Amino acid sequence: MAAPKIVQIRSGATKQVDGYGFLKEPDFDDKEHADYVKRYLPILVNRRKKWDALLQKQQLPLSKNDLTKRYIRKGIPQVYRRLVWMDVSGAQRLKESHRGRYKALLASSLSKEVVHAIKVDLSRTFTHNVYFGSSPDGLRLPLFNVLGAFASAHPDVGYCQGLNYVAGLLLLVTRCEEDTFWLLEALRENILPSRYYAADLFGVLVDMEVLGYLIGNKVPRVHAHFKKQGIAWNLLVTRWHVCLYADVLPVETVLRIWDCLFYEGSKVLFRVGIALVKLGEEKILGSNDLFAITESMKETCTGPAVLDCHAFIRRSLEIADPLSGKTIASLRGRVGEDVEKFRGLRGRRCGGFTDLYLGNPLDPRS
Amino acid sequence: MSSNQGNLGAFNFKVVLLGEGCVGKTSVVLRYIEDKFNDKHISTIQASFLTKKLNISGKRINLAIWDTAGQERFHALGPIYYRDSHGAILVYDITDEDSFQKVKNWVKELRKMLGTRVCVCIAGNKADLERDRVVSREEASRYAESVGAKHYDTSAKQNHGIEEMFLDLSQRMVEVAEQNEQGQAQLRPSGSTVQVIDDSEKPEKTGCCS
Ligand SMILES: Nc1nc2c(ncn2[C@@H]2O[C@H](COP(=O)(O)OP(=O)(O)OP(=O)(O)O)[C@@H](O)[C@H]2O)c(=O)[nH]1
Ligand SMILES: [Mg+2]
Repeated sequence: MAAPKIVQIRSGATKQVDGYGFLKEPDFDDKEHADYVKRYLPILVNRRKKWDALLQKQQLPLSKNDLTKRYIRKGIPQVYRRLVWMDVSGAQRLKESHRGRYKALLASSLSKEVVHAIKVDLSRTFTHNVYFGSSPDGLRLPLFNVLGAFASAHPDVGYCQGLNYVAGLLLLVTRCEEDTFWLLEALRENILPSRYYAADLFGVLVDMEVLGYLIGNKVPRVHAHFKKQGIAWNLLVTRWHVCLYADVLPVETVLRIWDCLFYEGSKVLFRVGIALVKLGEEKILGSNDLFAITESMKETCTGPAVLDCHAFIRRSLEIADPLSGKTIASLRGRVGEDVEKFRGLRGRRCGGFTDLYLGNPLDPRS
Repeated sequence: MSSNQGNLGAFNFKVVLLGEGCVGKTSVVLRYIEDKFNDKHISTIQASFLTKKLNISGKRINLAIWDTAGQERFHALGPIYYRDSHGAILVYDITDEDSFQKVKNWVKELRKMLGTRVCVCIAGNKADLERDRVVSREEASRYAESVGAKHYDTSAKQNHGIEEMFLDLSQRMVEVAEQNEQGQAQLRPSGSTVQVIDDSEKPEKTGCCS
């Protein structure tokens, strides 16, 4: 739980940070935050009791059933998060069937380019978090190790910006380099579609399209507004997809999304996207250029309705219900073919593949 | 590219910053717009833009300045970022030879996609790190001249060269726009999408009925 506490930072300055080490942003709203804590704390206490009881009765691995799903949707207590994520994502299984692999990867050599790319991002990751400062016992070195190991394991992917936020937040939760690595592996192997972080970001491109398509169905007025204004959808949502909402939404909200992500799969990412657009609907409709729309989206992403993670998750899960895995899979398939075709036509570098289907000619419905 | 004089006589230009990761694109923009520098900028994953209003000898100019991601794979998202640009600033880091090579690639791509209509500046950033310089200033200037671009030494950290660069770029964009205006008044392409950013056209704040 991100209850504020006072920590002593190396420089000697005392600053207020949340439970994960994030410094208060300048626009931090104390009152709003206090309200939310007051509402959320009893829920957390209650969930903790329930989980204690659950884990007394049942050992990990958890069986996949409606009860587990309900428990996870209502939030995994922070103390159990690492273990439960490792379990339900399949990371634990991967780790056990590849003993010694992480160590071996750390020892393998990396290309100069990859090392450079990772290094420049180390000091640019969560700059407002005390654990990612320059102190030698902080999380920068573990982050370097994890990202380096991941790049070694997948030379075709190397290092993709955005992974620093994903791995960084995983580290803040797990406090374990090796588990963080295996959670990234699980994301790649079991949870995200193929070629997600690939060198051509194929999977990200496809998912941005799919989300755009779903917005067309679920929030048609916004879809029409974007089309009318000629606004490229991916200017708004690239970070949503690449960072899996890390550094986009408030931390606690991201963790609650990831609880579902690790258990239910990547479908939740679309649900959240739809919920965000729905929340921002009126503001978006009242904004007539990209700048104003970007700002109103940003406001929504950090606003009280999203900060209140418990209500927001419930809303996200309800809003796009039902959304079957089959629907997503077939959309991804169709859009994927179109993306390939479009790229083939235009050539990669000059691929006008930009307005996504919002700006045509890639409307999957046509 | 359309001519860009709005009905109030203001020029609306789109300027894009391109260059390798970590050369200082975001820092240059923030220095120019907010006169700030900090070493805590986060890497840019999603392109964004900021606006600036200028007045050059009575001509009103609105710049929409686009900051883009440096990592190559994000270019797979396509040329939305530089499409319809009137100006481009290609940034490299004077202490990093590779980043200068990247500038050359960008020049090729821009010329291919936008032709010669786009005004280009090349910025050798981090000029405050002169001691670690590996890209020769002479070579960079010569190269810039050979491709019809202007070269500037800049330092976002020490606020050096940035104001002049944007000013010069703006003047050149005005010239090009005025030439277009005279030359092809009747050839205005219909599909162009120049962003018009003008406070007079911004909708009133919601809830305000005065
Ligand atoms: N010494 C010095 N450092 C600079 C200067 N400009 C930027 N930097 C530093 O270089 C690093 C990268 O700066 P950014 O502005 O984030 O670079 P960028 O080109 O936007 O990077 P991407 O968003 O990843 O493409 C930061 O640590 C800056 O503080 C400069 O003029 N001098
Ligand atoms: Mg940047």
